[in-house]
Amino acid sequence: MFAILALILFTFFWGFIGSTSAFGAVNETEKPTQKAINTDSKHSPVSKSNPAETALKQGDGNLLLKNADIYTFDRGLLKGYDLLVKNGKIFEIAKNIPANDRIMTINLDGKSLIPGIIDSHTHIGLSGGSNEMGEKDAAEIIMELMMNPDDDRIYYCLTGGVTMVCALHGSADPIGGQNLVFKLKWGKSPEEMIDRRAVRTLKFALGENVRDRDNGYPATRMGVSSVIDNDYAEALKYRKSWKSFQEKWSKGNPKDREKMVAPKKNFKWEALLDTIDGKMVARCHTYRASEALDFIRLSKKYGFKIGAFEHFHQAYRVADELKAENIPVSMFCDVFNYKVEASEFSPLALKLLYEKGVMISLNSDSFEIMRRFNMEAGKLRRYTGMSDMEALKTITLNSAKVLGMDRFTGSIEVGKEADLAVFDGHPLSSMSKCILTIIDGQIYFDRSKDPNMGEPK
Amino acid sequence: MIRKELTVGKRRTRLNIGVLFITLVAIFTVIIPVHLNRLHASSTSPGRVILKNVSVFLPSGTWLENSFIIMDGAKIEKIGKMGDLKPSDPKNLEQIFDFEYDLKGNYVYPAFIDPWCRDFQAEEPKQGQVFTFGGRRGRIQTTTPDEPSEPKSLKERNFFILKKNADHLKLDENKAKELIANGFSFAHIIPTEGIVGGTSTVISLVSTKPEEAILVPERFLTVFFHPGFMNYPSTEAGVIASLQQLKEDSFYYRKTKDLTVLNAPDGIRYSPELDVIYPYFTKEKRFLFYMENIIQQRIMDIFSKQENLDPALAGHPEVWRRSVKADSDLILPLELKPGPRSIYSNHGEKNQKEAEETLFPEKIAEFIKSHKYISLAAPSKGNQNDYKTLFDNIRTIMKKGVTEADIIRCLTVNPAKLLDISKYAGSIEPGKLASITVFDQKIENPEARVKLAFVEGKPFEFKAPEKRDMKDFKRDKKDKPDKDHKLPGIDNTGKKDDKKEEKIENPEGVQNESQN
Repeated sequence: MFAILALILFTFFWGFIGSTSAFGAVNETEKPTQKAINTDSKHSPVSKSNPAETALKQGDGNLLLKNADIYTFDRGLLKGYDLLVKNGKIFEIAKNIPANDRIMTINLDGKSLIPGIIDSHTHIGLSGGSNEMGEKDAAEIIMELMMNPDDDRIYYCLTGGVTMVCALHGSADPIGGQNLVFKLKWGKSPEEMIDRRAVRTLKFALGENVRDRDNGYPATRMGVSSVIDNDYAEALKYRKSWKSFQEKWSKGNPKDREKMVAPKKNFKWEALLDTIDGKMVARCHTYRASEALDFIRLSKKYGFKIGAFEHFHQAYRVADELKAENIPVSMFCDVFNYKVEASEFSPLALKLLYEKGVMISLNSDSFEIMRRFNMEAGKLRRYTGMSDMEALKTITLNSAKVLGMDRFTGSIEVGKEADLAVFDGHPLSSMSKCILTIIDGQIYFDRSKDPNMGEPK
Repeated sequence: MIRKELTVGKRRTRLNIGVLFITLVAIFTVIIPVHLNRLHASSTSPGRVILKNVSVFLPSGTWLENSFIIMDGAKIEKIGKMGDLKPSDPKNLEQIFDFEYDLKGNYVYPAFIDPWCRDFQAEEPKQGQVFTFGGRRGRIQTTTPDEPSEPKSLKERNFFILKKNADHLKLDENKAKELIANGFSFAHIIPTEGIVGGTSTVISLVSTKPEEAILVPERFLTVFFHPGFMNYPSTEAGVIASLQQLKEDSFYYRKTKDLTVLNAPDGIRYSPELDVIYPYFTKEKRFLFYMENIIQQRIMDIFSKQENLDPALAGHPEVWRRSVKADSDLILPLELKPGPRSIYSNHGEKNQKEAEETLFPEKIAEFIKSHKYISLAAPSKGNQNDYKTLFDNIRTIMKKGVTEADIIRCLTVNPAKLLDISKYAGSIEPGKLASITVFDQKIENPEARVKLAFVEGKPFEFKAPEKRDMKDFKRDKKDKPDKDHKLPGIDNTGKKDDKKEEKIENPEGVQNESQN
């Protein structure tokens, strides 16, 4: 009896005395070192409060990162290479680049350097709610006007290695607003953060979030589809009335012209017509395969392009159609079953999509998951069996393609902008943390100088 | 014989009646009105008043010591040094004064102008005068003039409440006295509800009757960029979109209101308020844009550049974070604390303290020095204006380098220019309205108080509040309850109600217990 008790107590205490690896943590790589990286004293951390004052001290866009494991998509994993950044762009990736006094040098000591993480579906950086209530279609709402550069969540996401983000309209309206792409340059003004090279996108939402409980319309998926259909028809009518006015105007005399009145300008229809003209691309929030196919039908009827399907949990059922239309999918990795609409999914379904060749980009739709986005990619690797590089692409290059920014950022190549993140371990491991976040060659987060991640002590 | 006597009697009575008649006429037409006039003059405008031995704040920003001010009725007549004052000469009408004040050691400032006052207005606009901007597809739900409708719920009235403030004034005497006690004699009244709230009014606090108090009935059309909740528009972007649509609607209405329906492609709806809005977009009249935070400041910038407007602005304590043109008219509620949702709050006590004590005062002082036309307003505490904090904050920024001349200019000359009353208000000069305040110290002294104020010549005296000693509030031992204290209802002075006493002293239940 006593022996059994003694055994139990012994094993109980052994767990505390022994090393943590006794509890089953798998060491894929060596343990993360706690040594602080040797950064130049010229730069100081961006403090979360008083950002405008400290934002000026991130460096001038010239940087030399020495001795890192660089994850490039075209040249593979380069171990022990140096990276030189000049004027915010990647200038050179080679071994043993000579340092000089004018450029800030950071010795990364073998840590992994990945392209800055990009999240293509969030709602951070906006003031208040991201939904325009009371309207079924809000195509004239521009999310850029709601940008809140003081949002703390921007800084929190920097601590996870995220460098660029697309803030979308919510999913309360069938036709939502025009989305906003910005880089997380904490402390700067909105004009410096917003990136206008990205493709203009319009948010569409199908499904149950869109049901109008006050008026009863739309209440079904067919109703939602008819709202979008009718709105496009009205937009085309509006265009017709303007064309007929312009014909009359060009044919008429000055006397007749005095009596002519142009139709009233309507910003909603003009935004919808932009999608038909190819100036804007649709991004559709949907869960069900049936309504996605219907949306593809609408896009062909009116001639607008679909940029991506968001949270498309049943994508695996229509993988062939998605591949044929070349529509990427922006999804969670393993978050599902939070409502009936989102139930028919499994993370292994992503493997089916991957094998069919549909481009997957991960999104978080929350600032909480965004801080651990590298783990999401790690989970994806485990479920789909893709390689490290492919898994990294889903959080970097594929998201950049969805946003139309893949020419400028999203991967580590000479000539692209220097949006980088440094992790102190394998980038897809749950044990590694982001220790340095760099945007356009300037340091925006440094864990050695801000270990509390912005929280007051 | 008898006839002669009779005729003599009649003549005398006729003469007596005649004399009586003439005197009565004289009384009612000449003497009484003159007397009444004098009374009238002394109660509202005391005729000629002279203040002696005061220091006067001149329009140039300097002080004129040992001087006098002569006010005639509602206007200032003359200012000069005491040495130039001629000795009183009864033959010279100019040296006759109804009231003389010897105010040695006191300082006379021009009356301050409150550019941001949300009091003095009735809460609910009258029935039939509220027009709402319906949320669906940008149409205005209006009423024809024959069918006034009830005001709709607040949810629907979010966007467009074109309220003519001048028709809804409620001038409260106590509130006016509070303003005058702080040195203000003019107020700019802003409508409080809705995004496109309505037109603002400028009043003088001389009277509680609107027809006498209003100086400028419609000065600005105020636009608050604050979005509503659960109704269109509920985002800042929605505010901008609805303002853009409103502009298009007003231009379209202007073009089509005289045409037949056949020629108007999008139809016509009878909407007179669109006519009211039109001159503001063509810059004939001026907007006043109110921004509560830096996000609204940015969208205001974008909107006014897009529509090429030159609005007056009303700001917030962090207005210095974005560049504002140096010659723009800006109303600045002088709050030296970051707001609750600001990036400078909620990030540690040390950071917040630093922001309150050094960063904000320095930045705001710099902002005031570098911008020409800032009007200072009192920060708001709930729905009321907090004048005490205004003067405390003025003293703080004076320590950071802002001169008294700058401050007084921001309280008098700049608001007068903003509100278009510079001809008769804003400084102490001959010909302007006699609205001045007499402080017993300069305002940089925390103990400065208004002793005497003139609002268009009408005097108001204020006594210093009594200083209370806290000893007065100490409890004496006599007040403590004794052990055998009596139950309430019994008068301790001796007058006892017999019936009550019987009931209370000998209730059935208590009697039993007290025996034990």
